[in-house]
Amino acid sequence: MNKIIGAIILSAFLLWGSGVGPAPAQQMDPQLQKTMETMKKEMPGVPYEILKGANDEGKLMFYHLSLPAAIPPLLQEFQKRFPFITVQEYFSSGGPLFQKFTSEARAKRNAADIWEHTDIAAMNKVADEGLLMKYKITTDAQYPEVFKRPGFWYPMGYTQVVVGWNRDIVPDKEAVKRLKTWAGLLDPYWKEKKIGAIVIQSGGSVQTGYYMLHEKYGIDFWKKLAAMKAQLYDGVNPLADAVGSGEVALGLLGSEQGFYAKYARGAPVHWTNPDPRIAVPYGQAIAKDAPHPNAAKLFQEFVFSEAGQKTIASTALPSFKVGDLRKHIKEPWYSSPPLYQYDAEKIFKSMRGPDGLINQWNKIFRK
Amino acid sequence: MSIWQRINYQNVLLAALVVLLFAMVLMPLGFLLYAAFWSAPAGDPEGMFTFNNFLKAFGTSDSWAAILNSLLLGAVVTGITVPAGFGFAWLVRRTNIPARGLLNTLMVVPLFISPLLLSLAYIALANPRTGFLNLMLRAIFGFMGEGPLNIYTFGGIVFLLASHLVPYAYLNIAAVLGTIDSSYEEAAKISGASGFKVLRDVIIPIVLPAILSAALIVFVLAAEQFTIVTLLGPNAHFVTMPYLIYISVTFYPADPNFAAAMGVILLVITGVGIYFYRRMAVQAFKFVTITGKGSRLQIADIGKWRYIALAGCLVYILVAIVLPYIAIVLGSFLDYITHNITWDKFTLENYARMFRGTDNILAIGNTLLLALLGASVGVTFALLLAFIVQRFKTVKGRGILDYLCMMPISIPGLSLALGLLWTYLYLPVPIYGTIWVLLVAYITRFLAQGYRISSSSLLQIGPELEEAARVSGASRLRALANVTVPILATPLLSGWVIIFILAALEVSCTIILYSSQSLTMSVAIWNQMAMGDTVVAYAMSVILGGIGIIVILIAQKVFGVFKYV
Repeated sequence: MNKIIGAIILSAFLLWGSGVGPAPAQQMDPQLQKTMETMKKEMPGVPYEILKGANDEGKLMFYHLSLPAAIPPLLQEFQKRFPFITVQEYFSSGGPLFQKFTSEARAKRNAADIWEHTDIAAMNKVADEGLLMKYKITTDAQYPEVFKRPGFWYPMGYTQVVVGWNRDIVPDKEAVKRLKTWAGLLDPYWKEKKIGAIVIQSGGSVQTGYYMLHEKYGIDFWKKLAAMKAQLYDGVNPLADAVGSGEVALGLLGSEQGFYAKYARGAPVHWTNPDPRIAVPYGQAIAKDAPHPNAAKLFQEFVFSEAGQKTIASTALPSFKVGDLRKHIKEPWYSSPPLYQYDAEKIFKSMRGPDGLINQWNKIFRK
Repeated sequence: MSIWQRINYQNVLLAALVVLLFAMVLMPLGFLLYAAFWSAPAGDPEGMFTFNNFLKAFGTSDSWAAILNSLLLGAVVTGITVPAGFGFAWLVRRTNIPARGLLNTLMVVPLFISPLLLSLAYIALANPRTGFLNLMLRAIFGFMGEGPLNIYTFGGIVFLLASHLVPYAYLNIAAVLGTIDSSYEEAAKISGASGFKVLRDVIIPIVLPAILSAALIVFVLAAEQFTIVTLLGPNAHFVTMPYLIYISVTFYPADPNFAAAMGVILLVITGVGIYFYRRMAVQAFKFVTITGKGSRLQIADIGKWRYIALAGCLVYILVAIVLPYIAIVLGSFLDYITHNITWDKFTLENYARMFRGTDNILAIGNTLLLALLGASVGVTFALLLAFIVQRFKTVKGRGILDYLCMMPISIPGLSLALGLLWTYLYLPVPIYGTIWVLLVAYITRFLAQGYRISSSSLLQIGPELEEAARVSGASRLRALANVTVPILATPLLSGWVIIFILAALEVSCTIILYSSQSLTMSVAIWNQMAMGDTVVAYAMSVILGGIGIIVILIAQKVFGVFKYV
């Protein structure tokens, strides 16, 4: 009897050893070993399976908006770590990019792996429609709730809605003195200066700016602003060009990226954040039917890691994770007051309809 | 005789072309119509049938103003451009104005400055505060304040559109003026008619199809142009339908269904224009001037007026070519746009940045390939369709082909882009995301231009030339290829050059349909603008303009495109 029991126990051991028990650990590709070591330090918690899958896929298609200062260094850092992934980019402005991405996704002909957009309400709508992959990044908890949709999109950085001026026409100290708050836009000093403004439909960031002015100071503020007969532009880049060339002395509610691009080329452009500071996130998400899902997950993990965020924050956009590392923030003409707290869905709804803010703006500013 | 021997392959080919035309034009139009009556874009699960898009188009004063402004702009620009185009064409092709050959080539060059760059150039030149021309005029004449020129006005918009579109009218009309049998004019002169009477009562009626064709194309291009109106309109307080379509597609919140509805409205307006054009074309036999008899071209001696005429042509070349090119070339060597130009602001960095990486080299190659193929296939396709409409008199429903061929031009580029996007996303044809979808888009988009030139040129040729060939045993297509096409070589090559240029500059369809491998120069320029790198965009435009000038010179030197007898 004892011999029978002993034979059974021995057989059980042998069966367990042959694979009936827990599965053995996946064999790591030796070529990926070094990469995995780097990942453990920079992107802890990201599993090997994602790296292996990304290696097998070998490609990534990145649909993005205008960030010439941030994207090349970011992609360079990514490819330094993951040279086996070829990154292809498709760049366009917000509206056409949105149309292309959503049309492709609805027709189930996704070309994009990663999609970027700056409008929170639009990104949430796309997530609700089921066009984005549910993937929670390992650093999810390090990003503010109000500027992300957990598991769907996260803010790779944020732009700010600022006031820019031509420093050859407006001395820095005059601009800084008067623009401590947004109420300073109505300072009599500006009556003698030519000012420029962006049309409200040009994008979500300028709409957030106009909404904030309307909420904080009322419709009369808009009317007084309109009475200054601002020259109108259909986007931040024409406005920044106009400020840089001196066509206008002051540019209202422009995205910081536009002024920064001119500043970087030596144009006499400075800008500041009046109080409150308006931040608009650059949201980034994985397409639901991404052709290269593992490469997409790996890219997300890298972008939202400390290394990825430092690259972005030191070249183009402040980061919710690591702060603002850009050089010009130390300049005396630049300020960083507290952030404006807003509800993106509420802003989106307020813009639309016959009595919406867009129609009101057109009636006031286009007279 | 076996069944295969009984089949007329030419008729099969021609029928296949018609089917292809229906597919290329009607499918995007079908999606546009669907979108115009739907509340959400194609594939959006929240969509439902609605009239709201049309209610919005007709129910607000802003929309009505935009519709009326579009018609006004089209009419005013046509009223200036077509007489100017006719005048230049007549002077260059039928008078002894000096430097006819050079003027003939220079008249086409403005086409190669895209409306976007033309606008930016004149904003730099004529913005009221810091425009170069204003600074110069204020310094010379002592004006105070701003101005005297202001590009941000209705007049500024008309000026830019007219200077850009004159070459269309010129090419349409010059091609026909160069083929008229001068015996008609000689007969009139022998009967005692003055030069002016000959022009009014003989030449103009003969070229009337070309004039009306040019007027139709110019009207539509002016009414649907969005770049110039987008940049200048807000400050000129002048909004048009294309501007509303542009902000509906590109701005936020996007409303592609409203853009589709506006596109349909423009299509209906143009359809009315096509109807009247076709009624005139029914009298086609009156316009036949190329028959089986030999002919020669008469050059009028305008005496001392030729120097005044030359001055007039040079003024046009100055404002349409020289000044904008100076502004663009100057801008391409600057760090940033400024009126305060000093030596330290000059740089070659913009050109260096252009050629870093392979993207822009790929874009140059794609642009050349698409423009060459688009023009070649487009002109051939358009000629065959015009041939079917003009020569197959017994085939019922030919009129529908005429409308179909003209339809794409009457739909604003951005609206058509959406229709094409949805078509090739849902059609089980594996060209979406490749360069071939752009080729198909360009052939569709510019079909009208090639068709109108082919059609109005075919009207000038009497059918007896082809009938003689057929009596000798040639098939229809052989008669077309060996008899008609050599006679039509000049206008067809003019059409080729126009479509080449349009394809090279095309941005509104490309911006939505391109992929990373099918990037073109026009989109690369647009992207540079969107990224805030205006001066790099200028550098790219100089390169693109250079390519265009080389093409025009080759077309003139090797093929004698603009050669006159």
